[in-house]
Amino acid sequence: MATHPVHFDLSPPPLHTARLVCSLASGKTLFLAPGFAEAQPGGGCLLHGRPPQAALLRVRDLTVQLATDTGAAIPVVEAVSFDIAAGEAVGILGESGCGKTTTALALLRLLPPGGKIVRGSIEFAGRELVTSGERELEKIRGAEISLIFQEPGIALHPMRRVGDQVGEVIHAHRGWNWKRCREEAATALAQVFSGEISRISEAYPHQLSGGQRQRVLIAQALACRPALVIADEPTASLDATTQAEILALIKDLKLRLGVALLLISHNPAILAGLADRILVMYSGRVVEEGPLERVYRAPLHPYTKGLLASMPRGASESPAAGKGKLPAISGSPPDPARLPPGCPFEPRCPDRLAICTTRGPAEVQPEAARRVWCFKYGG
Amino acid sequence: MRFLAGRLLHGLFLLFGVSVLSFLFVALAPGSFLDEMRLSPQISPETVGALRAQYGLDRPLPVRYARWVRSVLRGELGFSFAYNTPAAPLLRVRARNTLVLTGSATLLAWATAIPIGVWAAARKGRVVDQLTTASATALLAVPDLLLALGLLLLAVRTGWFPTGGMVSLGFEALGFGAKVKDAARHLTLPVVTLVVGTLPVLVKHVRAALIEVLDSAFLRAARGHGIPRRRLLFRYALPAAANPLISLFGFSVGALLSTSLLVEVVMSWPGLGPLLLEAILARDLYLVIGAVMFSTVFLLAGNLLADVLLYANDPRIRTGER
Repeated sequence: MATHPVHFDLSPPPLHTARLVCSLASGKTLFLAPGFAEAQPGGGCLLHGRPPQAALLRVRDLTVQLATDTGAAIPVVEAVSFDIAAGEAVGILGESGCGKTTTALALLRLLPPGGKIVRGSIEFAGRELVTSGERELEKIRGAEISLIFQEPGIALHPMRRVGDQVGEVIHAHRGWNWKRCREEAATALAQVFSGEISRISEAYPHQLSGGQRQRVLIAQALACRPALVIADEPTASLDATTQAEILALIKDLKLRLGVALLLISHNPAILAGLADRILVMYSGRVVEEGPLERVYRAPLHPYTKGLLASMPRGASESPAAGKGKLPAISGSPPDPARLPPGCPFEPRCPDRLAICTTRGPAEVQPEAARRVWCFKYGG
Repeated sequence: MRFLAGRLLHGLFLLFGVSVLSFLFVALAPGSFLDEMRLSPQISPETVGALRAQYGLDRPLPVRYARWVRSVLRGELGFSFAYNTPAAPLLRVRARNTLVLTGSATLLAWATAIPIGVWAAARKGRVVDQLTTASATALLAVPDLLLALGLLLLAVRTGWFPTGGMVSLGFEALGFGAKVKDAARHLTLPVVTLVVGTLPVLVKHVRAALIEVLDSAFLRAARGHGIPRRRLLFRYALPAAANPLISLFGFSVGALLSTSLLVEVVMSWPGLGPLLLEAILARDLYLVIGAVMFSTVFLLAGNLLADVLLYANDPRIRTGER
């Protein structure tokens, strides 16, 4: 194959979202997965020796609009692309209102009324979810991709025993008789509770604590052994101690079950121990992506820098922490209905350049496996 | 159990209140059963006076009330002047007939309203939902009386259904199957009148309750777990929306009962309605009070049933927590 002349046809940037088409001399066309080839600064292409591990979830150019009360469409997620490999934990970090939850809901096509995917593709295990019918989606939701909802206080049916509610998920996907579903539900609950399963199983949500309810939600999400679990702010409404317990549980389950995770949080510290790779989102766009450790150690985007600086650390690392005051990013995210013409972060950016007000930055790959959308690095 | 006992006690208290009030109102109403006799030249004033004493109408109100309570405890419910017998046997037959009519109308109305309401709510804002809502509003505007008269006219013109009574002549001679069929044919017209009259209100409430629940977080979560749509609507949304509907069920029994009294008169169904009307016109006061008491008992029974259902449906009420 290498002896044949090879022609690469690159669609316009961002490269990551482009489909690499490789036309062979034999007249055959190969479609290459991203990561198989990399663009070189000179314009050529570098072929990697091995095909990359096939992604479990492949999101490309996902663009979502929600509707306001008056029916006007507002762009909430703009051209978001990322992959999740089997067993990988990916975190999405960003302030509230930056499109994290909408992205998560869009993945399962659970957008609120008026919300729609305007363009893009969501490929899960070889299936395109954007064009899937409701029946197909019902089979995938909860069985192959499941969601751990935020606010355990309201995500459970108030009038049904929690064991039944876990059983319902199994019943929906396995088609077993009810008795067997209940037994399986007890097994699922046993993964997240130590002891007292029968008591928990028979309890109604109002008889459980916040942490216990969150464990039930996790059991529900894992009951059918999905390949991917999306956890949207799994600890937002819990107190600090319970929060730590739940995070430890998620970490443990990830290691034991080998499930892929998409974790969503506004708090860098929550993602720190859990995610392998993170996406930083701002105003509906991914602004930086990379392996968590490298991004946390050396953030590139000014927004990421700001977010990480506002995270409390040990006194040695951050001089400001010692004085009891944390630096914060000034201002607030722009109204998605009235975005600035250039980079959406420009009005709050400490490092803004003249070009930032004119157009949005393009994807830059400053080092391997990292992407950033900022003019400081080329753009 | 304590919950039920409390409810029962509450019901008894209410019955007492209703009996006192109906006694008062009947006493305040002008005229008495004896007035017509008094006008008749054939009956001497002495006879009228003797009857007055016999019925105890010359006694003060509290004494009359106490006597009536004693007769209630004996199971007689006072005395009908017009029929010259204790009121209870008269009332019991009529009450049973009213119960048959109201009961089947209540069941049928709810059995129709729930699927329609759920269906409309699941398609909120679409054409079918708008059509349902519009026709419900239109039906709501039709007076029950007009509806009853219209259906009667239809029955007379087509001869499909009998226009009155509860059974045909020679009913006793029929076999069991034929008896049921005959009774059902007689029941159809008044039941349809009642159902059509109540349906719009029920459908609107079911729809509204469902829409509120369909928007809730736990339903979105259940959808996210891939629970199929039908199960989502009937096993998740409906129980969660049921509390206000169960309370409405209690009210609907009362509403159906009062409409039923009217429909019974128009369609000559031998229930409490025609008896009550007759008794009021004749100033047959214990019969009036008895009919009011029976209606109250039905109403209370409907509400008690609603309370029991509420208790069964919502674990938060059962365990006494929020």
